[in-house]
Amino acid sequence: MSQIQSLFGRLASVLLGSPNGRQERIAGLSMVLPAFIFFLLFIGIPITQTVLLGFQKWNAIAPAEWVGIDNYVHMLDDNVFARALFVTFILTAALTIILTVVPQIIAVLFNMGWGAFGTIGRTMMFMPSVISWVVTGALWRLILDPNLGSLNRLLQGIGLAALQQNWLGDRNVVLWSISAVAIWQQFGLYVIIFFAGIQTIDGDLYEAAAIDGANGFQRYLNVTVPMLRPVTLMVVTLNLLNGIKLFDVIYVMTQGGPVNASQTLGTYVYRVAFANPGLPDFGYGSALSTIILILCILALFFQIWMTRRAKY
Amino acid sequence: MSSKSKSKRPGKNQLSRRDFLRLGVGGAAAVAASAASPVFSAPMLRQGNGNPAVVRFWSWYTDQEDQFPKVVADFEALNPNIKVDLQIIAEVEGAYLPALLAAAAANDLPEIYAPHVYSVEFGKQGLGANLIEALGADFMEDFFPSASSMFIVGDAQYAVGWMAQTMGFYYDPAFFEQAGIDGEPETWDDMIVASNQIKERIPGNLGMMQEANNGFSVNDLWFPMITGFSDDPDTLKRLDEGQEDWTTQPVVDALTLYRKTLDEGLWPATQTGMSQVDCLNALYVGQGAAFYSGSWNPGRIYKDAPPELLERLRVMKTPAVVEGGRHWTGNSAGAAFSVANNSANKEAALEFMRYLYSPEVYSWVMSDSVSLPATRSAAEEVTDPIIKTMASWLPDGCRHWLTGPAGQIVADTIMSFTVGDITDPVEAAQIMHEGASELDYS
Repeated sequence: MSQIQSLFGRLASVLLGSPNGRQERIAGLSMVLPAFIFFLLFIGIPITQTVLLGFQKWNAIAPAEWVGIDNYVHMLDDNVFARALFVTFILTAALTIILTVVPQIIAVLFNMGWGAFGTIGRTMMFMPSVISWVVTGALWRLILDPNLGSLNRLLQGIGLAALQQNWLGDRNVVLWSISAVAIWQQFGLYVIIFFAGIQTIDGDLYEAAAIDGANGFQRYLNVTVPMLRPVTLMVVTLNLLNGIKLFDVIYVMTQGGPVNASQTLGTYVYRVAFANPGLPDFGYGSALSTIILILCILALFFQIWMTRRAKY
Repeated sequence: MSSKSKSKRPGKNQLSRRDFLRLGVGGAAAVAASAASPVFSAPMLRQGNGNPAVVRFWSWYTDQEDQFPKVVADFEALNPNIKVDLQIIAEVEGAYLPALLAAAAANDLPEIYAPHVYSVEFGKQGLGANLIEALGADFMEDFFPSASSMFIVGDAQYAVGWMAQTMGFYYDPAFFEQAGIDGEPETWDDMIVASNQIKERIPGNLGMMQEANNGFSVNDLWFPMITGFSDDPDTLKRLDEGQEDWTTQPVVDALTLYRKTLDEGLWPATQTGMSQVDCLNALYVGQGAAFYSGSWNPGRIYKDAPPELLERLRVMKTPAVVEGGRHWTGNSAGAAFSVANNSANKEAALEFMRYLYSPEVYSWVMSDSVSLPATRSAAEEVTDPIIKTMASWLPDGCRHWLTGPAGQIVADTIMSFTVGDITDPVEAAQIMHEGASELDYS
């Protein structure tokens, strides 16, 4: 009995520290508890169940059957999974690079007071990012309609009919179209984030650099870029996570087609779990979801690693 | 009492920090307990002591969203001991299927549900009721065979058709006339000639259109060709159930004919980027002459098309594969209703089904919503000219989609065939066969 009491005592001291100030710590933990329980119920448990389901075969009706790593082995033979992984990487890489580099440059130009259109320009650029992905997809679906869409009509109107494309129906074009739509949607948000980051840079640094004879480009390269590193890391991480999870805009625009040309891991999980003729394969869908989870965790580790590296 | 002591000691209506913490912990525990409790996930409406039996009635059929509430109200007035909880889950495209699967996974299917592609699978697992047994064989006699065949396994039938889904061409006769085409093309070969003639004589016109941005829609087109070559409406059923190889001659012949329509310019070059909405819009603005699609369209066409087009608009049968051949037309009653087998309120659900499908109620719903009925008696009552024409094709109905496990492999292969990754019909049939033969049909 005394051993149990001692164990509880030690546990309490580990969790709550010394008796001094223990009440405050209890209060703090109590405040956190509802959020913790919420997280556990609606995020922690579903994620755990998904990971476990990835080792099972389950069609939503018959009892689940434990199949070990079969679902993961199946991925090695699955051409659609290989295509979805490839498309996910390509889109993530392209969006991360473009949506990190270009908005930073535009934000610097805006900060330089580039024209009197700074505020209007920023507002116009930011507006698409308040539109949901689903609405964005539906809107661009109409614009990119190969026969009646305004893009092809515009190209024809200005004498560039040769550039008209089957934007969403051609395997060689569809990823470019989706990338352009994703960039249009997200671009303004990252310009604003970078612009806000630039405002925090000490003006003395630019002054000192100018005294040392640095020109505008050198000041950008040696002052702005290093000082924006934390912001840049955050933008890179957001872009990586958004790219890996990309689903809704593609689902609305192409549903992964034509012939899986725009199939991402997100759309493939949906297809396997919910849009498959016959009964669904929740086990395989969960295994695919686990892969997405692992990729997201790797992206976060990358951010943590880069943040530490940036500090020292 | 000093102000200091006042601040430390709460009054009658004040909350001490200790009480606040107790409440916080207690509240969180209560939330956790209620969330974990089975009561939390139980349906909101159930038959209770003295309460009416609740029949949950789920579909995504917005076509009848104006008619269902009246039917339900009339039924409840006649049956005060039954409450029908109508849910049309269609606010978000694709939301219905996950909702239905979640209900099935919890072994808590709604009493009446639109089974989507799961009628047979749910039935085989004991979740869906055998309606021949539950409603009687007489109940089924009025349905067109093609509106029921996909729900039948052996002696059991796990759904009854709600809306028939006949496929055909919606067309603007003005373009046919302008292009010098007399009458409606008889065969697919005639259709190829007609389409090219329209495109040639009316610059910018897309000719005949189909929704070819996904394999399932392409199946709607080429599956009836399989029946056309076999002249047996059960061919697709056997293929679907793994009882016949996909390398069978009618499949190869159908793929060869479909290849011909692709290569010889029946369809627009942009067809793989065209959705149903894109095709309809092109028809409305006069950029397309005809659109191959299903009988679910008239309701929306009447709402959206320009009045002058509505005056001219016609529908024509699916062409025959050979001259003088039968015009087999896709009809699978993709819209149907099933009854949950394990519900405590199954009898109440069956009562509502009998009411819903009673000739006067069913005919009124179908006519009022400009929908194509699945029964002979309701088809006779149809007055809308387009629906009436399509209803006349129902005796030639054949399947145009699969309910078995091969659906995805066939849809993927036909899309590869459509975009030209595979051009040889025999090779395409072989790929379908290899994919389908690895599947579990039990």
